[in-house]
Amino acid sequence: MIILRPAKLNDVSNLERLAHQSGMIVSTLPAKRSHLFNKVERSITSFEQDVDTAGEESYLFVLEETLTGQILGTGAVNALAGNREPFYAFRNDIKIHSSRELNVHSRIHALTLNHDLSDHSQLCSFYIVPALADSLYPSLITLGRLLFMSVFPMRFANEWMAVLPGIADQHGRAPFWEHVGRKFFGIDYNQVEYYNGTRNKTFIAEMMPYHPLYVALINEEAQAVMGLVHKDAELQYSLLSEQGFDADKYVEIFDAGPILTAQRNALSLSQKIQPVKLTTIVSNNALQTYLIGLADGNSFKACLVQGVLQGNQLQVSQYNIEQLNLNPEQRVFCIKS
Amino acid sequence: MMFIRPIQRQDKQALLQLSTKTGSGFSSLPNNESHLEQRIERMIATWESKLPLSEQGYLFAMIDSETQTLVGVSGIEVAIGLNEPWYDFHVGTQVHASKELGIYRQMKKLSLSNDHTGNSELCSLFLDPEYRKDKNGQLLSKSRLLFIAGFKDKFSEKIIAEMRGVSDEKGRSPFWESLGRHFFSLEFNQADYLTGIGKKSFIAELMPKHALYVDFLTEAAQKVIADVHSSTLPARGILESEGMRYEGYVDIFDAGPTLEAYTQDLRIVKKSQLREVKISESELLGEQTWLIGNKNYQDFRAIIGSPLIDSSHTYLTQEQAQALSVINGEQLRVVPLSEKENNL
Repeated sequence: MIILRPAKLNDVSNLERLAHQSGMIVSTLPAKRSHLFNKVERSITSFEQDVDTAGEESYLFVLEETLTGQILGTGAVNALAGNREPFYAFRNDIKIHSSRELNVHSRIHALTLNHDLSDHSQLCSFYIVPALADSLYPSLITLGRLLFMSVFPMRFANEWMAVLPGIADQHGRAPFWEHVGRKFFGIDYNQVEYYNGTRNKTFIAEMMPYHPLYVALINEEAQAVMGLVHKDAELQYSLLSEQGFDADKYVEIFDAGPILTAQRNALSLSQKIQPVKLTTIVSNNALQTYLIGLADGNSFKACLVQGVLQGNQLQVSQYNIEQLNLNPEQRVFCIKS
Repeated sequence: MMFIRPIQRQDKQALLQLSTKTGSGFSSLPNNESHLEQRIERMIATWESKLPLSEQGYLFAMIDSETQTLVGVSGIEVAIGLNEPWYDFHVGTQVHASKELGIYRQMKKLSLSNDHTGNSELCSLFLDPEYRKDKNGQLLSKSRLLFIAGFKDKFSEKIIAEMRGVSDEKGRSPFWESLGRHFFSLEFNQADYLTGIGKKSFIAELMPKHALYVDFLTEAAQKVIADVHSSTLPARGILESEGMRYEGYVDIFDAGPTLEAYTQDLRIVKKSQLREVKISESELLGEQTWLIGNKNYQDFRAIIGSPLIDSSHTYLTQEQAQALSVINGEQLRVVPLSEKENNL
């Protein structure tokens, strides 16, 4: 059975392998052992802590095949996108330029560098092995994390967001960077992504535009990719959009990839979460797939089960119950589809 | 012979005629009868001391004394931007640098400014193409400075002049195409015309309020920032030789440069002197060319000539004295026409 569970220290070498596979698409999963080790350690500490307001915690989950112990994917949540450092984004503002005298009323778009999103909780480090891309498991990683955040609301902000990779070709040429960032930095996109993954964010404040950038003045090739998602992240994009995440307002500062944001309460997920008791199946009704989350103290894991939901009872196979190693302390939540 | 005098009501038709010859990019003399009429009335009211500072302006006509025709105009606005905001772009520098990354970049930026609010402006200079010879352009332009030298108290301590920017023969301005066009759907000619009839601030309402990085404009637009139209090169040369300079301000539509100077630093203000009129029967020629004006505020006159001027007198011919509307014993303000000429 495949489950989503918190990362452990002995996952580090597996994570390193995955990070290499993921390439530069997942900049929040750097393929550097020491970085990954720190990331896992920080996650373990975060889960262990009792938290009443969101702070510097970062939670890293792995997708594990329990029979083989193989790691097949990752997903993380930062309690706050910018805790010690601001989280920068471009906000796509609309300015009304209006003249009654000339009978002109135009809506002018401008990108403003800002750190509004610093106090949002951030979904990041999503990766799944290509073999599972067409399965239900990508949604286990994404909805599993959203369920986790819903079950432990005090650990997170009320506003959530995710940054998805924008358009860049296999040589690391990102049109938005070529026509915008390069003017300010004079360096390649790969280089700035590397700095972004490894340096503190002061350089962004130093190098990026202080003044709003009028979209109409940006080269058309770059305008065309604003808010477009890299094809490797289309799945993520649609999973989050289906839940009510909205990509209208912000784009990433280097490649103009979409930044999806949502209010917790506005997510369709929040209406569908139901506490349940797991019991052995007795009903003859047709089985359905449910995503369930098991909260045990401060820990949390999630998986997909086949079962029948009757009232607050989710009937599943005896095999599932054994695999999940249920104990009476655990709270179980299911997402009705 | 050419002479300069204040504009008069009867000049309206001649002005209207002249305005058909200006072409695009010459916004301050629009081909619009009621506008020109109002302009003339405003100028006359200024001379009659009937207007508040914000509305004061002077317009001078250049007259061919043989035919008594009006062949050119030039003007001065006393204090710009007091009724409606006066906009231009300041061309500034912003440095983006990160010690940690070892990167240092200088970025040019344009910021909308009202920095010239209250300054006096040299404007509306237009000379009939057939008369662009014999230093007529210099008389038309420099006589304003002589007027300012004579009546300094009526003007701001700072003088500016907007120079027409680059546009092609179809009136297309590369700067407008790259910038202004995006902010509202008008042709440069229309924008320019609206400016001329006093609608510039309405247009400015639609312009970018935030600073713009020059790197985001097309190369063609970047190249013409602070450049003048080829037909304006002589006018620019004249003002620069008188001490005006480009100090980093350009027009918001065509990016033509604004030239500026402190009034007290203008050569003509510093160097012009007073001499007594002596009318002689036969012409007494000196060795250099002079810009000569009378001291009459209401009926200011100016000419160019090469009369003999000594340490106390200017020796005028009858014709010159008539053009200047002076008689023996009156004072004249004189200055060598250009820097190159010998000083007094």
